[in-house]
Amino acid sequence: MSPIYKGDSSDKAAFLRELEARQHRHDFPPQVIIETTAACNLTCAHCGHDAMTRPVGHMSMALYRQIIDEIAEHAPHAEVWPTFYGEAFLLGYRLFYMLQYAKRRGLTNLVLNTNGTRFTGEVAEWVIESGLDLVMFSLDGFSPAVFESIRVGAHRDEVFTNVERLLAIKARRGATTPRVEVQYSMMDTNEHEVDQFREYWLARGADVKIREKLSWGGAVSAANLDPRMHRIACPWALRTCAIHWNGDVVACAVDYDGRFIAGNLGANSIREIWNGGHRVLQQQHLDHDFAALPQPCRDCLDWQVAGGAQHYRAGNTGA
Amino acid sequence: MEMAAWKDLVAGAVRSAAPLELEFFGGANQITGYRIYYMLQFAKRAGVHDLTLRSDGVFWIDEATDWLVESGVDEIVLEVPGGKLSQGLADKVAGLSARGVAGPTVTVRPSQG
Repeated sequence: MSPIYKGDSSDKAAFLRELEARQHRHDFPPQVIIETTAACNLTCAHCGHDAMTRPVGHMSMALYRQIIDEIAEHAPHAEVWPTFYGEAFLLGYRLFYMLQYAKRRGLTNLVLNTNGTRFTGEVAEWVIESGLDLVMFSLDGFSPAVFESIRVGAHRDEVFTNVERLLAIKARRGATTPRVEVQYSMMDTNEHEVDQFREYWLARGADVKIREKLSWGGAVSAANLDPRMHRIACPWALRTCAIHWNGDVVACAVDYDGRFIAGNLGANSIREIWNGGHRVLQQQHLDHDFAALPQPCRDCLDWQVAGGAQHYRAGNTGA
Repeated sequence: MEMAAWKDLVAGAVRSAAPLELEFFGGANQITGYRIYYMLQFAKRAGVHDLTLRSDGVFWIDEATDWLVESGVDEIVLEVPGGKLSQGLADKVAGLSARGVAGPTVTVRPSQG
């Protein structure tokens, strides 16, 4: 388990060294993040979505199919997230089709995160039918006051009800998927509620993930990230292929504005870009040639968070 | 139509082994078209044996050809003025036939009024 937020810095350094020892290059990315839409309906306090300067759009179905088909051919067990810097459930049944298509093509590890605001009972039904493997609700607060100060635009009771309704429908249908996880991004304004949050959700059958706050490549303040920490090769740079809705393959999961574009899927395949334009970035990380890195990597501190989170499984007593 | 109401209709059609027709008149964009896809597929998976989509065809954007086939719908009835398809819609129908896979039959009728 990773030490999180204000833990002992020597523990964290040791964890990061151990994490780095496990990193290596991959011929095909083990994790692919696909921006099916860049639109979002919230303005969360810890998210840099409002700093995004590129156009907001939806991915074409032709491009989405191209991506899924390539993953199905080379790495059907890759962890695939059909969401990046937007709220995928704004797509409604288009998202259902996308999830179902990916499952039909044989993908085995399909994961979505969501703010939960659109997760009605009707949505819960089709999400279960889609075959999605894991749905992760980003909640970040327990009390209404804290939740709504962070998840700006969402209502705590409505979102909590949506998650609990999904758990109930899943139980009623006897469905084994999707696994339901609630995520808590720790920060100064919510750390006092984390224990309540964890116990509340574990008691209701949801798994819990707690992680440190991200800076989104420096877009938002994250005092938990220590610039003096011994730097390691970023796990996201080495594992994650992040694709914007227009087909741009960018640096990683926090490159929300496409400050580093390794290539575009209109011209090349994932594999070609991953082993071409993106490989330069990966090698610089592995060589610890951090000064040569392009932005957003060069000044980023999110590598301290990229490899670690605490996971608690409902029904288990330990983490 | 509420999805719950559609599911009730589907259940009734399955119980009585009756054909079922979904009407959709008007435009659809990339988002709403997939709601039709879900409704059609739900009905076929539930066991409706004779499922028809009746429409003026305005919904039929390029990517709809894929989901029409994948939905399992048996027949598409296009009701258009004078029973004559626009060139764009005729191309879509031809594209569907040219796929060479089992798909819905397409019937063209003059629209009412």
